[in-house]
Amino acid sequence: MNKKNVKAFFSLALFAGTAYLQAAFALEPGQPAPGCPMKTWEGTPLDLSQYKGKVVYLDFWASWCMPCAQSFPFMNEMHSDLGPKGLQIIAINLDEKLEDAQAFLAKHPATFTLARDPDNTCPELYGVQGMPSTYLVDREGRISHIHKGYRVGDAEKLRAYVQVLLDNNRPKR
Amino acid sequence: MAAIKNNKTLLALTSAALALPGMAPRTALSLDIGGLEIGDIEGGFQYSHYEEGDDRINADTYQGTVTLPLTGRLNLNGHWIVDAWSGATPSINVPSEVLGRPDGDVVQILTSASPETRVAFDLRAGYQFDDVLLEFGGGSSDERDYDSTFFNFRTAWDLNEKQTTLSLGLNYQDDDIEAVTRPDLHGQKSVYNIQVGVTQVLSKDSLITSTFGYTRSSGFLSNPYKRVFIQDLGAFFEQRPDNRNSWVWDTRYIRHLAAWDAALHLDYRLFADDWGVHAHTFEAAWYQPLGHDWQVVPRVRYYSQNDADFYQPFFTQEEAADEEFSSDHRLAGFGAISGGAVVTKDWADWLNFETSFEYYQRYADLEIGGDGESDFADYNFWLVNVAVKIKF
Amino acid sequence: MPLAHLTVIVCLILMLAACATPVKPWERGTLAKPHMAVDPSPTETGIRHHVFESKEASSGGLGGGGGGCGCY
Repeated sequence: MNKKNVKAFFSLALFAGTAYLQAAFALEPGQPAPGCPMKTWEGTPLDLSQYKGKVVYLDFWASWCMPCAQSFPFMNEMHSDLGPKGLQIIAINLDEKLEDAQAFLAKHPATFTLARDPDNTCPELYGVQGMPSTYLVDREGRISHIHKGYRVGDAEKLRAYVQVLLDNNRPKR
Repeated sequence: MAAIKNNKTLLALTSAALALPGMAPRTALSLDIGGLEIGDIEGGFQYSHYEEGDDRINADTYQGTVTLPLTGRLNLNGHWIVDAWSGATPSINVPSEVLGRPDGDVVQILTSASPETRVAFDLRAGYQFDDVLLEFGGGSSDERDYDSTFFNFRTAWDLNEKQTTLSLGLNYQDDDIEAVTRPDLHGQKSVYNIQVGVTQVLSKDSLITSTFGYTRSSGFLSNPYKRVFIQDLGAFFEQRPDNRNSWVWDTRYIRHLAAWDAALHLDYRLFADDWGVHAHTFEAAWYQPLGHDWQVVPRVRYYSQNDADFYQPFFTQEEAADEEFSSDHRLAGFGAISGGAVVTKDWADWLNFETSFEYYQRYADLEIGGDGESDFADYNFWLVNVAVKIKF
Repeated sequence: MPLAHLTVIVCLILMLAACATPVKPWERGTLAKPHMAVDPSPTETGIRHHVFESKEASSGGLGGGGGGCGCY
């Protein structure tokens, strides 16, 4: 019985250890949004700093993520309504194979900016903990809100957050 | 009558589907009723035919399911089933001497079962928090001589960014048992069950899941139609113990094979109870996508169980003295091998068609460590299914 | 079932969990494939198990869920 107790304890400890390691890193609201090596869909480098002064809606998605399919119509709507008011949506695709992403886009077309990060450096830098993940960046380039997942009903909440950030215009000089 | 109506519905659905040449992908239908958002409603229908060899039992089963997702977190599920069966079923074993044939064999006697119909339904409601699922369900099953009511609760907890899932299930069942040929019989049976499970993602291409369950049954646990032959005394209705504790441990390993884009599912289940039964089940299934949204799944199963403590093909008076006896072939020692395949086809994101078949052969000789004694009870069966699923 | 056997089974399961390699949330594309689900076709499994449990002495089995895309 004693030997088995020791075995059980170490297994439990190892198990708990892996759990801790995985949850280690996460970005906090208030921190500046990290620059990361994304590329446009055509392959040219895309830099987050070029959007300073705009509100950025950074979304990590993949073709195999069911909730992502539901979020695309919502992002299209926001792009047409709030794009002219200073909203910049960047949807970073994390598919291993480009064909999978393209098949998804054929069924769920996007009017907003799409980006690619095949090396997966961006999700690491942003500490993405679930798919999809949305990071709202204010006009000063700081992370304002992090949203994990997408469910029916999230549209209103996210739109409200975006509206608040859009209303925060740069202070007049 | 309900059975025939459903057959026509199935025909109408499949011919409509086959008639449309190139079904365009449809945009998701999203309903909003008074602020309550409804997601993709799913409906399904399945027809199954079960047939044993030698004109024994055959059964037709019709099932329907409806899934209703609400608010993105609440999920409602409804399911109904209609089972109709008839044919001959083993009722007693006698030594061949009793029939005037002194060759030392055991003879299994079958009696014709009058056609029976069972109707059952169950409902489930589940709420998905970010990492925790809570699910409640219940239902009822009715046939001429057997009524059952059941309730269940399940919770699942995702950990480690959803790489680990722990689950707990509780089930309760209450049955009322009668027998057409025994008007004085009013049996009652209660079943309590608890299941704990863990699912663990092992790598980008593999995962393992394991569940451990304990069940306690008490009350009238015998089959009211089965009899035993006690030498020099004749035929008596079987008498099983009035309680049963059983344990089950089921583990499945799933691995993706990139070269074929196939998924291999390997399953091992160990069962043990305090009636003396130990059973091993090995299953392997190979999920093979074939392009153009077709998929074929060949599978094979090997099963082995040993006999219950109170099972005998027939009894001497000493063997029956403790008043626990059954000759039901289900409690004998035997093995079984079965194999078959599932074929599925997806159409345009909203229609799924599935058909499957399985052939099963019971062999007393296949029992691990057995003596093949119950080979007089060997039989085989075919199971064929046809199903359609629609997303609205 | 003796308590000693139970403890061994639980240890085995926990140790298996410990030898899992961490998979990032964006690396779950393969696990999200429909044929990688624990039970890709519950209605068909239902009737199959119903038939086996009517013809054999054992019953019960998996019922946990999990795996898949791990989406929120």
